[in-house]
Amino acid sequence: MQKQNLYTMEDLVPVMNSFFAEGKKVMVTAVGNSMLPLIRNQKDAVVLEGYNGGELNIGDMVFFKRYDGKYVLHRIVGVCEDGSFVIQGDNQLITDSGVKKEHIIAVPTAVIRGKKTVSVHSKEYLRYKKIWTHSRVLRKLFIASFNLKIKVKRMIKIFSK
Amino acid sequence: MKLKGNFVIKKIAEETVAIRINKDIADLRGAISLKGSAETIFSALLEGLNKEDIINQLVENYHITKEEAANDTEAFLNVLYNNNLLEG
Repeated sequence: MQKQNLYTMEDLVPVMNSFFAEGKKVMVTAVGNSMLPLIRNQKDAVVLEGYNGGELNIGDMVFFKRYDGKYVLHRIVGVCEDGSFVIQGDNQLITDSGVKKEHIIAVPTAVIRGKKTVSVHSKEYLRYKKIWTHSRVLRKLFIASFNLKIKVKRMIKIFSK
Repeated sequence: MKLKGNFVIKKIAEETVAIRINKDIADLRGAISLKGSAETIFSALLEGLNKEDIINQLVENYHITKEEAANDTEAFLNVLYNNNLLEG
């Protein structure tokens, strides 16, 4: 048996695209902390469907290829004059600008949090999306406390050596 | 002897793997690596062949003895049983 995390996203995207071309969705384990608190690293999964060029709005999550070649799942937080998107992780303050529709590969249809499936159309997800995307203070507080937690853990590690 | 669930065989990074399909969702979280004779055995299971047929297919494809084919088949089937992927 081969766990998904033995493959890079670069390895997985071609097979993902082959499934999208067949009209199927894919389920992948989430990697990274950039979409906390919604999506937890290595604990949660995401169901993705191929992006067909349809309408995208602020607040929508997208899976895209970033300028540095990495594949990322983040959220649209703004739209530029030229129609390109400004994208940001829920647990981040930095943004990616100039993301065009042609960079977008897939959109999530559900988040699998542990054993629970949360559809992106469900009331609870829409409530989370509204609160999280409209409350800068809440997001900044969460990000600050997350970063503090990491720093404290590092200091404990150093002092316990 | 039957696989539990629906699977398709694909390549990820030049490696042949079996991926479970549940309704219209391909689950990439636990792809099954199919190296060497494992691919032949898994494909045969997907076709619904029994153990004897699988062994005969290995003998033909890999020009090995029936005993070697039986050992390979048994070993891979045990892996599938232990990972709750096979029934019967």
